Order: sequence, then C-alpha cells, then structure tokens
Amino acid sequence: MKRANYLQIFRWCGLVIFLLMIAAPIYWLFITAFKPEIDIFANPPQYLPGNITFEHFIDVWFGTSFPVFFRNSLLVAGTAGSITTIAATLAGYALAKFQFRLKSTILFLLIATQMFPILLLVVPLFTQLAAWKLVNSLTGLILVYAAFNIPFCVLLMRGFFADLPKELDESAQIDGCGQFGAFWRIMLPLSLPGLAATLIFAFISAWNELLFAVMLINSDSKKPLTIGLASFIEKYNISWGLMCAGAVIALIPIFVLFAYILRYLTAGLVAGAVKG
Amino acid sequence: MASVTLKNIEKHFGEVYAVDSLSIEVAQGEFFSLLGPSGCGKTTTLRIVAGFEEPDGGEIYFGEKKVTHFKPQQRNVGMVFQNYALFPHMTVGENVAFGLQARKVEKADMPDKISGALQLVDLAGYENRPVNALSGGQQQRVALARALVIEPDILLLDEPLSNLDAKLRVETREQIRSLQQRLGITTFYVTHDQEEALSQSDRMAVLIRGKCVQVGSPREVYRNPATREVMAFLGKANFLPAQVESTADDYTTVRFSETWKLTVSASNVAISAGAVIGFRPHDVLIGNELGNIESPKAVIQDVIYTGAYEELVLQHGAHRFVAQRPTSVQNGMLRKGDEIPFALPDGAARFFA
Repeated sequence: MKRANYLQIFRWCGLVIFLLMIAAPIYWLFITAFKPEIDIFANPPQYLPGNITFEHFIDVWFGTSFPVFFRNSLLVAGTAGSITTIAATLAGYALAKFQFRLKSTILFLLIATQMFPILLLVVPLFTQLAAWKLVNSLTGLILVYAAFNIPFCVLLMRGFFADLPKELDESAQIDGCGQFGAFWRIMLPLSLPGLAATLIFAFISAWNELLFAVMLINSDSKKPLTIGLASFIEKYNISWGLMCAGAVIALIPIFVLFAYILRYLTAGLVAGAVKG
Repeated sequence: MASVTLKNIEKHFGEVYAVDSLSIEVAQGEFFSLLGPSGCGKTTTLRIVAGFEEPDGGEIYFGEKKVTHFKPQQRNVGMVFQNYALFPHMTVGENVAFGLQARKVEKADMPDKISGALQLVDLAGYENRPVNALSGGQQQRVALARALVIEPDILLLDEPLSNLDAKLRVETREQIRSLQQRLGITTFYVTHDQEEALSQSDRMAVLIRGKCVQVGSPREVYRNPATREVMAFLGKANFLPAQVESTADDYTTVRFSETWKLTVSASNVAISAGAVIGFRPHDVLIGNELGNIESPKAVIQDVIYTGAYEELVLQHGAHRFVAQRPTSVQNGMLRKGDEIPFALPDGAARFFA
C-alpha cells in the first residue's frame, strides 16, 4: 500500500475515536433513559437497547418537580439569550461602524472581561446581588447570564457587522434612511446569520450553566434544569433512569432552536455575494 | 437640479491633508469629473459632497442652499458606489423602491416610478429578479436606477466602472453620459481613469495630493496642462530638459541640441535658464509626415506595435523620447536602427520652468 493510504487510514481511525468519545455518552444517555430500572443495573451492562420503556419519562415529568425546573430554565435562558442578543447587536453595530472616543478602550475592556476566572467573581457577585435582593431570584440569574455573555457576543456581532461593506449602510442613508433606518432595514436583515449564532450561543450557555445557579438559587421552585438534574444524585442513591430521561427532555429545546435557526445560519452563507 | 459650490473645503485625517482648501463650482446640469491618482482626495471630496464626511473647514452649497452640515439623507443626492452596494437581500425592484419608501412616496405611484427608472437603464422587466442573479454590468445599472429614481438634485458617481471589464466599461460609460445629457442632472464623477474623465465630462478638475491643480474642459486640461504632474497623469508624455535661448513677448525659444530648437508659449523666462519641455508622443511628426527638410534626426531604438498605433522609442543625441503614429497601410515599415527626421509642430509642446 502507498504511504498516502496509510495516512488516510490513520486519519480515519483518529476521527472514529474522536466521534466515539463524543457520541458514546450521548448514546448511553439515550438508551439508559429508555431502559427499565432493572436493565440499567444489569451486569454485564446491556450495550444495545433491549426492552424499551417510557416509565422514566412519565416519572420524571409527573412524579418530580422537573416541569418546574424546565419552565425556569426556559424562562431564564430565553430571557437572558434575548437580552444578550439585543444588547450585543446594538453594541456590536456601534463598535463596528462608528468612530467615537474611548472606542479602543471599550474594545480592550470587552476582551479583558474574558480573561477573569469565573470563580474569582462568584463571591463579589453574590454580595452585590444580595445587596440588591436578587439572590434566589430568576431575575438575578438572568442578569448574571446576560452580563457574562454580552462581552463575547458583542465581539461576535461586531465581527459580523464589520464584514458588511459600509457602502450598504451609506447607500441606505443616501436613499433617505436615517442611521437607525439603515441599521434596521439593511444591516440587521443582512446580519441574521450572526444574530442566529449569537442567540444560540447565549441561549445554550445560559441553558447549561450550573455554577451560578447553584450559588444563587436555593429554593426548589426557582431551580433551573441543571440543578434539578443534579438533584437526582443523592447521598446513597443515584436515580439514573430519571436523570437520563430528564437530560433527554432537556436536549429538546436546543434541538428545536437549532432546527428553527439553522436556515438563517445557512442563508448567511449564500447571501455573502455583495459584490459582483 | 442644482449647482454645486465647494468653498475652501478642508479635510484632514490626523496629520494628512486629504483635501486642501478645495474650491470648485459646478454649474447646474453639468457633468463634472474629479480626476486624480489614488489617494489624491477625490473620493473624500465626493464623500463630503454626499455628507458622509464633515469637512474640517469650508462650505458647501447646493444652489443657494448651504448644506455643509446636512446629513446624507437630507441632501437629496443619488449615489452610485464602486462596488454597486445593492442590498443583497432584496430583489431589483425592492432595491429601486428603497429610496422611494424612505421618502414616503405614495404606494400607488411606486410601480410606475420603478419601471420608469429600470427602463432608463435598459432593465425593464427585471423587477422580480434577485440582485445576485445579475451580471456586474447589470448590477451597476440597477445601482444607477436606484440613484436616479429618487429624482436627486445631484448625482454622485464614485468610480462606477472600475469593476467592469473593458468592453462593458465603454458601453456603460456611454450609457451614463447619454442618460446624464437626457436628464440634465448635475453630476459629480470620480475616477482615476483619464479616458473616462476626458470622454464624458463637460469640465473636470485634476486633484493631486488633496489640491485642485487645474479645472477646465477636457480639451483645455489635456492640451494645456497646468503642471508637469497633470500632463504626466493625463496620458503619455515626454519630458526633456532644454536650454532657454531667447524670449520675446509671449514666446520663448528653447534648444535641445545643435540641430533641434523649438518655440513654445511662455513669458517672463530668464535667458539661459534650464527648462523642461513636455510633449505628447502622438504630436511628434516623423518620416513622411514631414514636409520640412530642415528637420533634426533621431535613431529608432525600439518599435512597439499596439494594433492601431505603433510607438517608436527615439534617440536624439542624449535625448530619448517616444513618438507615436497610426499603423495605417500607407505608412511604411520602420525598423530598429533606422535614422529618421522628426519635428514638433508649433503649440504642441508645454514649457515647465
């Protein structure tokens, strides 16, 4: 065999190992969610799906506070994601298109915020939120998630806007639009892919967040999914079936969001032809 | 329609003067070109007229109205950009309609105005095409239709042809010119291409390093360039050093060599001062184009054939220059190494001190 072929095989093996590392836990999550309790603990483990049951799904949805957690997460991630996207879009546009004093300082600060270890911020943040009576409230959580995601998302959106030729903006103005009209009617529709990417990023990072949720939330009625799922791990017992069923349900909004937004992401790839 | 007056416009970016006390008056309905090498400030000037840049000093008037600090959307100008700047998420019709919507034109009047504008640029019936499906030339014509549909007082064109191929460039150029003539719209045209400026303009300004060096009709600027730089920029030119021999009234006689002297129009010149004489290759008469017998001679160093013309690199003593002649069948063959007589007709050369 030729050398190139060996290389090809090597590359494929690497990819397969990588894929297994990512896909195996998800596969295990899915089959565990659908296994009867007895099969979960079978020894040797059942690697292939055998008896399929929906009992964990029914139990987790009707027998625990999971629906409350789910609703809380949807509320928190949805609101935080929207706030982040709106703020990042406006700020990103300003930073991409306007010249103003302290612009480079602001950009530097945005990047600097990304360099702090989050753990360093937990205590000051907690004290501050306590002073504002926002501990153990979903509003507090939403503000924290938005605050942590906005800097990165601003840089993301700034990149998208900076790639749009300034002549588009200018020709909209020449045609009689104000600055905001040009933004709203031309720049915003053209940056939809960026908007979609930003929304997905902000939503998912709020959806998955555990550390601040654990720190800030202590009543059951306010817990988001991440803590809710973790609470299936008890001192002497781990409810694998419930936890996996809950995790599968937790994936659904992400899938739906992706399915809905995917067309904007790909629409952006073909709309790039501004110049002939 | 309106005239445009720029008074002492200044614009600097940091230390660099992009536009340096520029004053230009463009008459109503005039096709006016700003010509200059890249970085000369012509695009900045156009952007100041459009309202995208505020001048650091000076005033702008559209007709009697002072617009120096007006925003672009308050000026009622149409503009065509180098890269077309069509809105890629809209159809041709929506692109053209955009300015009308922003101006709150009655919905019922729009279709007529849109199809009228598209007809002007020979794109009638293209309303529902996506702009990305059009060729470069068509896109540029949509951009032109979009600029014209709002019935602007002034039309601004920023190197509109530079993304088109050579043949299309000439076609579109002619189309722009005839449209401008038909509509009688005051037009500001920015280009670095001297042929574009010469062929279209009623008048033109040559900008070099932010300063307006010369304003005039294409013929004036080409025939009587104010400076050596202008002459060099507007097409091919030879520049040879010469000695001033005598001067009388408005005429000065200069000498290149023992056998070659020339009378040029220049006054107040010091005798025996050095000078530079500029002339165009196509003004040099050679071989059988000459009736005169008393002509200086030059040796052909090289012959460059370009189709309609051939360029001859000539050596006369220490002077090396280029002559150009049509390659018509009557003109005999000239070869490298031939010695030929040549001459410059009166008025063909420019004197630069």
